Amino acid sequence: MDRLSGSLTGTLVAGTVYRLSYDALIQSTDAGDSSATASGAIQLSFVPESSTALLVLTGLLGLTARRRWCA
Amino acid sequence: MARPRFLLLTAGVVALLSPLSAIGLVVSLVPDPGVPSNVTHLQSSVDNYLCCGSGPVQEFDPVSLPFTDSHTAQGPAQPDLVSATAYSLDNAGFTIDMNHSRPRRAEAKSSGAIYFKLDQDSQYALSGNYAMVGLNYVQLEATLTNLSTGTLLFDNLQLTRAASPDVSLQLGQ
Repeated sequence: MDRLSGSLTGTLVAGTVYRLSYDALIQSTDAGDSSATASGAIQLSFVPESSTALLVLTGLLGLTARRRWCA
Repeated sequence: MARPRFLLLTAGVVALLSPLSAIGLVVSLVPDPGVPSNVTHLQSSVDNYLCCGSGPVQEFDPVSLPFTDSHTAQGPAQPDLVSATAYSLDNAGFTIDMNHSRPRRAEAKSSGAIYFKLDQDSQYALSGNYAMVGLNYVQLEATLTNLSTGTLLFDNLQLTRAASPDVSLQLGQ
């Protein structure tokens, strides 16, 4: 009955809409009559893509060099 | 004469940075919550359910980051029936904390969805856990979906009728 697909880590693309949904519950069953407590957390962390930052840096370096050589 | 020299310089810079890009990509796989990532939080909905308690609490308005909020629902006829959800959203990521307490025959549940988009390509790292003390049924589910393509990036549902008093569920197992 359990289900697992995809990856806990991966890439998110800028400008794309994503949905993070979650569901956690405790419930009694017909057989049980005892109490219960539960606690937990869901975390989604973001880390900027380093390669994107380097591409931007490359472009800036190129523009700077072009200005110097053309001056 | 300046143009060929410019092209040569650009090629040199790219050749120098290519190995650095590979290293940077490896490093970026390690979550660093201190790095801002320009997250736009579009919409959220958070529901607290109790089998015999108050109705759902919902929020559908866009919010500015950082954003924190919490909701607690309590069974009117059963003070021990409690469903509490707290969420903290900022540019480094989202955290949803859940606490449930259930007396005898009842259900306590937190569920919700956060819609968002990023201003910059980013790596994501998803984690979660849910631990129950007591007997009976426990369930944890989390999904991360690309709504533009309808692609599920992550989908995990775990449920169990606990045979032992303590059960701990971990996302990704």
